Amino acid sequence: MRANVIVFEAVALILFIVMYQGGRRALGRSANRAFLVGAVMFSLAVETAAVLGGIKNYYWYSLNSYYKHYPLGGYIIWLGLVPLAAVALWYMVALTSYLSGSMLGRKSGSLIKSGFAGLTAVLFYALIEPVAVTNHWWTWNVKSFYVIDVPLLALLGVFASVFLFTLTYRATIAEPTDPKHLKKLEDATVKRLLKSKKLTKNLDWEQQLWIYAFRLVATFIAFAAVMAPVVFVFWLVANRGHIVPGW
Amino acid sequence: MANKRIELEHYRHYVDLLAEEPNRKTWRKGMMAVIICAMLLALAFFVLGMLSVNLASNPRNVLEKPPEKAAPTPETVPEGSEFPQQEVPLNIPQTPEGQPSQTPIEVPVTPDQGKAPLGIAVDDASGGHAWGADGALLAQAEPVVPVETVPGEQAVPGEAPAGTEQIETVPGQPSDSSPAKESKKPKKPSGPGQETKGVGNLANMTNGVGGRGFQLYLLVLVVGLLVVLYIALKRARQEGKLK
Repeated sequence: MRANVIVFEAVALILFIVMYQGGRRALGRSANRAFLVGAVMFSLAVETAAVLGGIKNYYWYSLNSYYKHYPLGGYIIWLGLVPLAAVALWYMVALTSYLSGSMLGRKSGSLIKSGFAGLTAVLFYALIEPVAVTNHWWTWNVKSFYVIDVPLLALLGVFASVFLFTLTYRATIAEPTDPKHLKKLEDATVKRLLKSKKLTKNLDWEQQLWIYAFRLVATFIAFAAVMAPVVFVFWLVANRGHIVPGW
Repeated sequence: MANKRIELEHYRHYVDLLAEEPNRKTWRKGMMAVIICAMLLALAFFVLGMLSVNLASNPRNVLEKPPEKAAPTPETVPEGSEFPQQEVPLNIPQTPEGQPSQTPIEVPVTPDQGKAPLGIAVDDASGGHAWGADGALLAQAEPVVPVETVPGEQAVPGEAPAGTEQIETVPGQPSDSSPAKESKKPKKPSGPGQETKGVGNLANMTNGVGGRGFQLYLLVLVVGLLVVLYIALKRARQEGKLK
């Protein structure tokens, strides 16, 4: 029996709506909207970079009419090169990880809480990935070290992305702070544009969102910087070669 | 709570946090909704994983090529159309007199939902056996083992479409294992191949532990995940009661 992609898409989109409502209550209306937009933009950037870089692809289900014997055939809604369901799934995992990380490390600092969030996300994706690659919801192309047909790189990537994203969200929206290593950069760039020298927690909501957007870009660059050596190390000890996307 | 409210009052000129910050009861309900939803998500993936066990047991499944877009095939034959004689498959042995022999021969049947190929009249009274225009028995719909997927073949892995039958080599035709082909073995490429082996292959785990390796893996993970989420939910409840 096959868990066709339409099943995955339906499950992801239905649970996404319910989870968004829950997130609205747990975080607050505007904060939850900021979490959603940030998660969508961040995961979309990561996934698009992965597809463009030949690390993974959604080739099997890139066209709706691939299978005449399956209903609807492929992914229905696409955000460029990435299906909406994949992005929605990342949002759900990140939100759950963020909230459970806050509870698991409630007396700890932001780093520990985000660490718990990253570990929860890895548990989720360790469950999702084998099911996804078996049913060809996506295919990994990268030359890397694989365990049960899932590159370890993917699980490390999930940890790094959720850890960095939840850390950024917490430090900007939930508990606004101004880290020393970012302050100089922000003062010279985004805060100059905003014409404000105030601390992030003293900014108004719109200005805070600009800081959030700036930090998300910085987070994406940090994510790429962290993952580049990891990709290289796993490339050296690879047990499966590269596969050309689309064969 | 009082301190939190004073803090919020302090910043309310900048952000309307009093309107934004949910009270503890609302927060707890939202938290519960998210965690329960995440538990459902984990269970859904567990079920989808269980449904995928037969696919996962195929070592070549993960890197299987997608099937080509199916070309439109005529579903019905218009009334009054004649079956052309030349569409009868050419591999029917003929008697010296030029008459087709009555020996049943299995011919490759396309996996097209078990439909009879065009140009062949199907006699319902003959128990589903297909006959040529001049009476030759072409194929018998005997249940046979599905074709094993070969790399590069356009087939959906792990499940044989309806109507798929084993293709037998007709005597006289060259087979793939001919000595000429065997002598031209491709050189082994350096570095890792495109297929995973050992711990890297999902099928090895799936077929291990008495064929329940993948199911056990999913079970352990989903239980672990549910425990983690339950702990988070329990702590959220405790925090709600304390405040």
